[in-house]
Amino acid sequence: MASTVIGPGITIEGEVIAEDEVVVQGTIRGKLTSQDAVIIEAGATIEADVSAASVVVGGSVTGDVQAADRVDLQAGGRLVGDVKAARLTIADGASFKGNVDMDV
Amino acid sequence: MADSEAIIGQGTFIRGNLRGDGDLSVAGRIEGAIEVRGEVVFEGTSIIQAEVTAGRIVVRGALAGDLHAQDSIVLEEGCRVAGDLQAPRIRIDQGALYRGRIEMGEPSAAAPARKVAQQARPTPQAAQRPAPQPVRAAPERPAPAPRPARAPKAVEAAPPAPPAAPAAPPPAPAVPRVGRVRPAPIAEAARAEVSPATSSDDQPPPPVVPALKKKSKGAVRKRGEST
Repeated sequence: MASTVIGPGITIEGEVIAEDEVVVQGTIRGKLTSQDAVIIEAGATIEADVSAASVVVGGSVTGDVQAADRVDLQAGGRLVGDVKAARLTIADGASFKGNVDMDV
Repeated sequence: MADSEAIIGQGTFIRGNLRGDGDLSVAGRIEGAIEVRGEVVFEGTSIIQAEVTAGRIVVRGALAGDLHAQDSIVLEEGCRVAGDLQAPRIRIDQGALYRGRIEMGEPSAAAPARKVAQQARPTPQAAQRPAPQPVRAAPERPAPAPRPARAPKAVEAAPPAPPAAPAAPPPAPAVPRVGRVRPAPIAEAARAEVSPATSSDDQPPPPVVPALKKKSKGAVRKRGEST
C-alpha cells in the first residue's frame, strides 16, 4: 500500500502510528511508531521517540530509538538519545550521543 | 498522491496537529487538527476526526469535523461528512452523505474583489461622460455669432460689396458670406425676400431686407438717377 510521506513543509505535533513504511522529510514532535521501516531523511527533524522494525536516520533525531531489526545512522545524521536494536550501524560523519543496547 | 508533498498512508494513524505549506493526501486516520495552505485530499479509505483548514479540500472518505477552505470544498461520491463547511465555493456530488451547516461566499476573499471591479467600471464611464459634455456645450459656437458682427465692420471699412453697399451699409452682414461663395448672395437674397416680414417685425435693425429687393433698388437708383 501507499506508504506515508511527511513532506518537508509538514509539521506534526502528536502521535504517528503506522503499519507501513514512513518517510519523514518534515518535522514530527511527539511519538512515531511503525510496523515497518522508518526513514528519516536529511533535513527532517524528529523530536520524538521512534519505534519501528527498522530505522534509518539521515536527519536529526532527538529521542529514544527502538528497532526490532536494525538502526542505521547515516553520514550527516544526528541522533541524541538511547538506541535499542539488534543491529546498529553508525556511518562516518554521523553524530551520536546516547546509550546503545543491542540485547547482547 | 505521488504529487502531494505529504502522504498519510492507509495504515497510518496520526493523533495531534498536522500543519504544512504544501499539499496533503490522506488515506489513513487522523485525529486532531489539520492546517495546510495547499490542497488536502481525503481518500476513500481515510477516517478523519479533525478540524481542517486548507486552500482546497476534497473529501472521499469519512470525516467528522469542521472544514474551512480558502478556495473550495468538494464532497465527492461515497464520502461521509459531519461538520460545518465554510468556503467561497462548495460542491457536493451526488452520493455524498453530509450533515452540517454550510456557509458559502465568504466575503473576505472573492466578493470584495468583484465589488471593486464593478466600481472601477462605472468610474471610467463617468470620466468619459464629462468629457463629451464640454463638446456638447460647444462654447465655440456662440463665438461664431459675434464673428459675423465683427466681419461686417471690416466689410464696411472695405467696400468690396459694391452693388448694395452705397444704398444701405447695414446689409453688409450678408456680404462676408458673399466673399466666401459667390452664388451665396442669391440664396441669401431669396431668404431675405421670404423672411422680410417676420424679420422686420422681430428685429428692428434688419438691414439685409431693404437692400435685397431688386425692384426697390432699381426704383431707388432710377429715382436717384432721374433726380
